[in-house]
Amino acid sequence: MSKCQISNQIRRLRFEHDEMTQQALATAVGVTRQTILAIEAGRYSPSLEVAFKIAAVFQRPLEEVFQYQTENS
Amino acid sequence: MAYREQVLWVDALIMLGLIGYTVKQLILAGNEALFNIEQAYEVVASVLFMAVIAYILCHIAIAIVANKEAEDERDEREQQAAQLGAYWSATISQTTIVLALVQFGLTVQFGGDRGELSLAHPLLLLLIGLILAELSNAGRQLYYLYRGI
Repeated sequence: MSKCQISNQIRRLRFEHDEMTQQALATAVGVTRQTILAIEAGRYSPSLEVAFKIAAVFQRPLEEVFQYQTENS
Repeated sequence: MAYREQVLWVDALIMLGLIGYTVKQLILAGNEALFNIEQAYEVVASVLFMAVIAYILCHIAIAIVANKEAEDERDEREQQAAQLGAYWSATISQTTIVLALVQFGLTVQFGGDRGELSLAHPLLLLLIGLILAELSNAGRQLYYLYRGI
């Protein structure tokens, strides 16, 4: 299976938001803390809905939170 | 560890325990269980009884400790894991059922007067297959939750 090509800035954004905990973000988004942990670690690519919810929590555009890396980039 | 992961670990451990218990029962019954339908029924009944008791007790205990219920809504990642686990479980169950039916058919066709053999073997095969299916269900979900693939 191909390596996850979606990176994210969730860890940095949580830090910038008064060191928001993974649990607080998970509650705001409506998923489990383990799912936030997996997204941060790049082990899980969230659905569009969850991705937009995470961006909304940080009040940032989606592309600032998630980046897609193509093979030749 | 998330509640859902705890439940899956418990399920996997129960199934591993059941495999051990089944092997022990089969060894105790000896060849009788393989060739005598009544002995096979006894093994299957005792394993199913142990499975129900272990499942109920463990799930009640874990629900009390975690103050949650197994029916609590899953998030999207847990739903994907559940779908993968169900796929693996269904594949193994279906394969086992087909193998049991083929064995039953072959024994009826070519087994001569060994009528009991035609039921005892497929029955035990089904039992082991269903336990393995449940084990693979929990195992595949845990692998997906920890590794993401």
